[in-house]
Amino acid sequence: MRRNRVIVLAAFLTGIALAGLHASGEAEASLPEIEFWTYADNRAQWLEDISVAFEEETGADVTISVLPFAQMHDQLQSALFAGTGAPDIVDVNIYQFGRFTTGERTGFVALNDYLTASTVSDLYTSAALAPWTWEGEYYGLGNELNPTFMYYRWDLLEEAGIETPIETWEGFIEAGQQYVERTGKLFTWVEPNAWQPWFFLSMDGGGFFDESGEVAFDHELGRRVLQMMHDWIYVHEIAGIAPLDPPAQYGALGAGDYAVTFGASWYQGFLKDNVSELSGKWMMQHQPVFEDGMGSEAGAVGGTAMLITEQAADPDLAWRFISYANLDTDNLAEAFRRFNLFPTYRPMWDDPVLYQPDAYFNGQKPGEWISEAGSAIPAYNPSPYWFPIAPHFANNVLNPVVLGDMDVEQAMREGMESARALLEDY
Amino acid sequence: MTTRLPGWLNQKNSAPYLFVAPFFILFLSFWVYPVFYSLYLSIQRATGLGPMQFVGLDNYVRLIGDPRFLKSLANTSVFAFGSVLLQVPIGLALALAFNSTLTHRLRGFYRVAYFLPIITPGVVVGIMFSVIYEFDYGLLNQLVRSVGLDPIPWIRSPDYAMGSILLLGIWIWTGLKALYLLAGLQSIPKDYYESAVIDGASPSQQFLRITLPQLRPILMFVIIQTVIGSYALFDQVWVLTEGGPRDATLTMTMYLYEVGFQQFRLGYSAAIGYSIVFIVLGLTLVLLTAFKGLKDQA
Repeated sequence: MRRNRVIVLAAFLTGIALAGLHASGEAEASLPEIEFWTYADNRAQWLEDISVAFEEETGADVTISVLPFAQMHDQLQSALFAGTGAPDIVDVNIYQFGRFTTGERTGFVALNDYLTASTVSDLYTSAALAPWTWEGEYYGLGNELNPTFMYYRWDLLEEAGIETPIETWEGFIEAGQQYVERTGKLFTWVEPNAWQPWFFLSMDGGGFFDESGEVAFDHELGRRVLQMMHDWIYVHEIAGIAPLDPPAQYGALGAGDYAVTFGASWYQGFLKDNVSELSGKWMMQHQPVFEDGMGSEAGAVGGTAMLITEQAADPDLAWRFISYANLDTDNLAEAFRRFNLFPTYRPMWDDPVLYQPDAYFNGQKPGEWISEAGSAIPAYNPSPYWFPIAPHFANNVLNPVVLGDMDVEQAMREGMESARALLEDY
Repeated sequence: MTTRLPGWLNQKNSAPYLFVAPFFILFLSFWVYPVFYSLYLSIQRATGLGPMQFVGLDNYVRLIGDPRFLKSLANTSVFAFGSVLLQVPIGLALALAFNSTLTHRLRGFYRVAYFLPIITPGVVVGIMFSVIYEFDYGLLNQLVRSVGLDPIPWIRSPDYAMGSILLLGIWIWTGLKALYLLAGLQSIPKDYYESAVIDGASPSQQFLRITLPQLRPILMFVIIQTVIGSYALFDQVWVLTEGGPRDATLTMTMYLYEVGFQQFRLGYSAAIGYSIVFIVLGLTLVLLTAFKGLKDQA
């Protein structure tokens, strides 16, 4: 009996070993694979659909995985640190790239050898390459041009007798006061914890960082914008403090409690999804500037690029997929049709598909606005210190000013001191 | 001829080890190894990708002068002690109510009702309370306005934010404490109370001289568990405030996450983690000593 058990155990272990050898043999003979991580459902669906033709052409097997935003970037970081488990290609958000530049290497494959001079000249580099560039190496290819706009309820403004476009911040305040007086409702809002609006309105002054990536948010334009946001609430009384919760924000917009908001071009999709009942009632215009010319008609916020991780099995194949998705006019046209993704690839900019009227925005052609605003976007200064500086600014500078607890000078001074202290040990 | 197997291949000798092996493999892989590796990380400078540099206790020394770490320590300690001072007495009151003959018939319902918050995922709770605490449109401020008061900036103002988190904690965890204490109450022999009544003891004397001393082991467990759980607070606060406004609700675990993942400073993050361990260990020893002292006095 004991001998039988030994024989059975030996046979079992042999079977497992043979199965393992067979599986590995099969893997070697199987299709080349591309594993792609993304955090956006709409991008994932687009990628899955366009990858069908790519798979037929190359024989590759493309797997698209969608993970929640924060989890995906955290998981990517862990996998890169562990040396295993990372995908071949990953969508990295513009503000998450900084964390990967804090060490000796980024964990990604530099694309400089793949990007020819003519390809680079075909790209709007400040949106396509600059945010994912570090120490002269391109690491990501971004495919979104994300200029920011002022979005307004044209029906409410018309009813209040306000003419558009509003070209200056001084004019904006006058319009707001007129709106409040005639309707009894607030004109716009200011978010107490979101650094993004301050950032894209202050980009022309430098945003958060200087050209060397050092923290430098206390520039003149930044102070003026912050003071303006404060004065909207407490001096001119045309703005309220925005609801903290996105559902509450969209609820407020849906109820007509606010007539103006600001956001990037991708914000259009969020408006459509969350306040679809207001279709036809929104319009967009360029950002106002100060009467003395300070400021920019457009900023930029947000963006996603495709990067090849250093663990990619076949970087050349991975680059082939990235260029297929981002440098192919048919695929880019499809992306625009689905979620208004205006490409950074200049050859697409003459494609009529980008310039169709949008019923949600009262027949305006968002593509025309985006391409026009694109040229006004100031240069972007990336930095490995994006996190912690952006939340630090929101917490310690923006929040006390917006809540009326601190004046701008004190908030900026103390915010800069604490920011420098925060970065001392980096 | 019978073949004699080596002892280790003999089924009777090896079977127990084979049965517990899966647990120990997982335990070693996902608990023991990470615990020791994070200790190793805490004495390294491990920022971004690249070689690590041994720095000894430098990360721990840096914590002492880190204002955000100190702020998170203060916030977490306020939450821990506030939770003990609020949740335990309320939980005890609920347990006494559950144990009363007046609520006998509804005891099962109350047990389920007060246990539901503890099994609701932290993220769901955070989202729920973000709606309840919303300044303009939230449920609480609707009630506040209905009685003629000004709306309260529950999570908008640093002055109120931690109080709002403490309220959140009461909603989530008080019921569980009540259930633990109820089990303790039900284990107290009724003879004690009968004897006390015969001796003329009042209800308050019975509570102070019988109920509380008998509940000491359970109270010790509940208080220690409250402290440990408070220093691990993350999900609900992350969803609700992300540590704001102005770090008013930044907890130690949130700071650990921020440093480790958003800043990619793994060595310093590991040191924060171990500082939580040492603090909780220290507080637990203090509490155990205090409760032992109470027992000796009794």
